[in-house]
Amino acid sequence: MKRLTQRGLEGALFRYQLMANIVGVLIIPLFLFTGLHIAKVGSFKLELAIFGVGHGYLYIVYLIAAGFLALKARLHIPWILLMFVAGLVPGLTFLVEWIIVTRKIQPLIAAQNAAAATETSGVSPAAQ
Amino acid sequence: MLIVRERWLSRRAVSLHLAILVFVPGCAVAAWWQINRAADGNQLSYLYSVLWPAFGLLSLYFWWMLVHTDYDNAGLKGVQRQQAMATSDDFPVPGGPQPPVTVDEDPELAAYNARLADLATQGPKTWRARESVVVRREQ
Repeated sequence: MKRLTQRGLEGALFRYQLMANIVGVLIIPLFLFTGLHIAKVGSFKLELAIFGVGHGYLYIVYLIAAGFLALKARLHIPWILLMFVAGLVPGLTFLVEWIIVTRKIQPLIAAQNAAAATETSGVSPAAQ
Repeated sequence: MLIVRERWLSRRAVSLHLAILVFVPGCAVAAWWQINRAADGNQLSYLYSVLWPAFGLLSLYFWWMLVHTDYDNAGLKGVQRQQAMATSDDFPVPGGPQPPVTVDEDPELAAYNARLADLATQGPKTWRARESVVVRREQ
């Protein structure tokens, strides 16, 4: 709960991961019921309404979380588009989340920690 | 003037403008379509007619933020660049050690020069709230 409201990169990363998992799980039954409905296996109007509207509104929260993470980590536009589109394709959400976290966010956190480490131990401001 | 041109008329910025020029009217059309469907009695469309304007507003917000995003002093490359600057001592670092005031320098002129140096490290003015620079030196 504390991490949900945490400021900074770690908090933004946690919110993005949370929303990516929620949206990524929700879109699977949505596509499943859409396929069954189109294939005329049965009428799934209620399920489609629940998952469609639920995914639609939670996708907005996902867009906000992903966008704020991208702005904080200074991701470039193709990566941002990839994150946004991933919330609409079943399965892609988890893959893109893994790629973004391992390729983009974890190196950034490591670089920030390295910068903080040299700041406290290595170079000391000599001209004081 | 050069800063304005770079911010608003770079290839990146112009592609953002074009994307927003297509996407926001698209959202407006979709919202109008859903509103009409809701008026015809489709109850689900009431919920979707809120969704589409939200997408449009969100895209406007991110367009503004992306136009005003500077990659110089944050992000992976920015942090690495800042660290290189902080360790090389060739470049001024915001909040870093200021050059000492020499004895024969007029204090008023020294304050003016310090102010200029401080402004030079801040970069161009933007409408976006300035984030604190990642590499800091404690006193």
